[in-house]
Amino acid sequence: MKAYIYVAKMRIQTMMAYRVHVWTFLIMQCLLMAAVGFFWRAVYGGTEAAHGVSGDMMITYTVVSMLMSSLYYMGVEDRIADAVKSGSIATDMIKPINLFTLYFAEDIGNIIFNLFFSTIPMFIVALIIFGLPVPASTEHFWLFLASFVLGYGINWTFSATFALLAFSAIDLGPVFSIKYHFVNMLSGSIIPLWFFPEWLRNALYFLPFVYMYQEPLSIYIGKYTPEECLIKLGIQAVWFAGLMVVFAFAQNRATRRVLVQGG
Amino acid sequence: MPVIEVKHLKKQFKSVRKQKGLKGAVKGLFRPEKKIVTAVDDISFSIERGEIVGYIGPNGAGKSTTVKMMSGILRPTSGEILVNGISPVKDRKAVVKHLGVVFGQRTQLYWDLRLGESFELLKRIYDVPDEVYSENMAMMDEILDLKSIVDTPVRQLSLGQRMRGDLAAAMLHSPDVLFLDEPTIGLDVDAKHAIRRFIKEINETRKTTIILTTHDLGDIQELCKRIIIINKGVVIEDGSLDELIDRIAPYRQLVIDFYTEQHIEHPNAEIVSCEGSRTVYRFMKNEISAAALIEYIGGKAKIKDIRLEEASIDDIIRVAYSGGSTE
Repeated sequence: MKAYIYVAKMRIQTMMAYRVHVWTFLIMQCLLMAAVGFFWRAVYGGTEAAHGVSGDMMITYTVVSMLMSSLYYMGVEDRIADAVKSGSIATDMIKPINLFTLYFAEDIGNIIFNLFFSTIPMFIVALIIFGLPVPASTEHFWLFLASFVLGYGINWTFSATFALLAFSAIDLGPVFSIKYHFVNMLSGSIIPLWFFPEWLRNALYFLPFVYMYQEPLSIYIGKYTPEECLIKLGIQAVWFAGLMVVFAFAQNRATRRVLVQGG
Repeated sequence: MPVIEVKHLKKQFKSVRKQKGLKGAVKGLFRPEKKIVTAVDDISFSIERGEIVGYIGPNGAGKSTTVKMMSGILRPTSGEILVNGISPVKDRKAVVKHLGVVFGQRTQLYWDLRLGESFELLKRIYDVPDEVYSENMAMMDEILDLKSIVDTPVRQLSLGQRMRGDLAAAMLHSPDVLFLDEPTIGLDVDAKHAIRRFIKEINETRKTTIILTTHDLGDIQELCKRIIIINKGVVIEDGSLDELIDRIAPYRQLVIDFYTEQHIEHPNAEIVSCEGSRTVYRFMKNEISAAALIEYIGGKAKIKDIRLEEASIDDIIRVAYSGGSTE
């Protein structure tokens, strides 16, 4: 455990070494947040509400979604892909630790770093442009936090399972980037699913993506009653557990076939 | 009981054959042609505690693949490996706990952080008690001069400094087995010297069992009593270096310059060449000593200068490699 905490700490220090990257990422995220926020303001115009959601709720949805995405940073994908491609996976495997716990610890480091260097600055920018993104109620806020944590679990496990592809195909090219945009689209992180055609919306509820963004965000803006929220949390927990089983199975298979590049 | 036991080890990879030309590349995109490559075919050996074994062979012989299988990184296709009685296939973590590994061509140090951070992390990973940690650091600092580099970010270290850091990292938890995969690759004379001294020292003081792969025959000559030579995935030699030299190159050459042209024969020495006042003899070490030969010739004619030539270790290894391939 001491070791994993130290890994997270070292990850934070490493991120600090890349200041330019940090600032450009922050500026990019703030611009995206402002653009999407103003887009919804324009779309709503004089309209009171659409699909039971007002313009203000939609802006709150957008701001919180952007804050979430800065914390949902999935370093595990690039980490595994790089380790396999460069062959440095060998130096990870000579240590008496679990590989994926190591990568998870690094991502915890990423979250802590992003909280201070991305989420909080973005929150301040949002505060200035759009005002405070108020949750529906205190109760909804706590339920959202639980849903956010489960959403993170689903997201991480899904990404880690996906990243295992790197073990069998050496060069995945832009696969992760395609996956990233796919998830963004299908999880409702930018456009909520209630604006999607009904058949697609119904289909998407059978996939894990909505439980990463849309459902936690819907809880935050008060689209569900507290009782409904608990059911949503239950479904999230089932998805999380299911993905964990798939991941455990897949990682066992993948690490058996590990290829190490170079000398 | 041997510390390391390897029995009939085999490793095959599936690899995609790159096809010729644009047409081939397009074809490969849809229907890749797979072929099976055998990196390690049939390797067996066993190593006792405290040995330093040179594991050598030409590029692509399967050295690194063997090391990676022994450290639990790669899974053998078939065969058995036991390190300290434990199979790395069944329990990687248990094996690597008592193992130190250095890959000369990569680093386990954290690139962007000061060297000391990597040490601190390893201390926690292996759960090294404080006293042992400071004792090890002091011992390694003496030979590897770590104090001068411990606060430098790893990416700013020279190759020699980085290798010193990597060696220290591999030894922090006092492993009883150490795998060194080309630890002196690309290093200058001073850095090589420090690293060899370190290897010798830990082997003597701690009885650490060491397997060393290298292309630098100086490493072998200075460190290894035993060498295992592999080629094309099979063991072609396994024994002491002296034995190998005696077997492959049991002769020496004696070059003698006389004051005048001479032609002196000796029953145990063959004359290789005789040009002007210089005569070159070849003789078997076990048949006659150089001193006896010189004394005999010196008794017949006045000698101006002598030079004794031994087959170089490079030659011996080259013969061993090619001998293995023509068999």
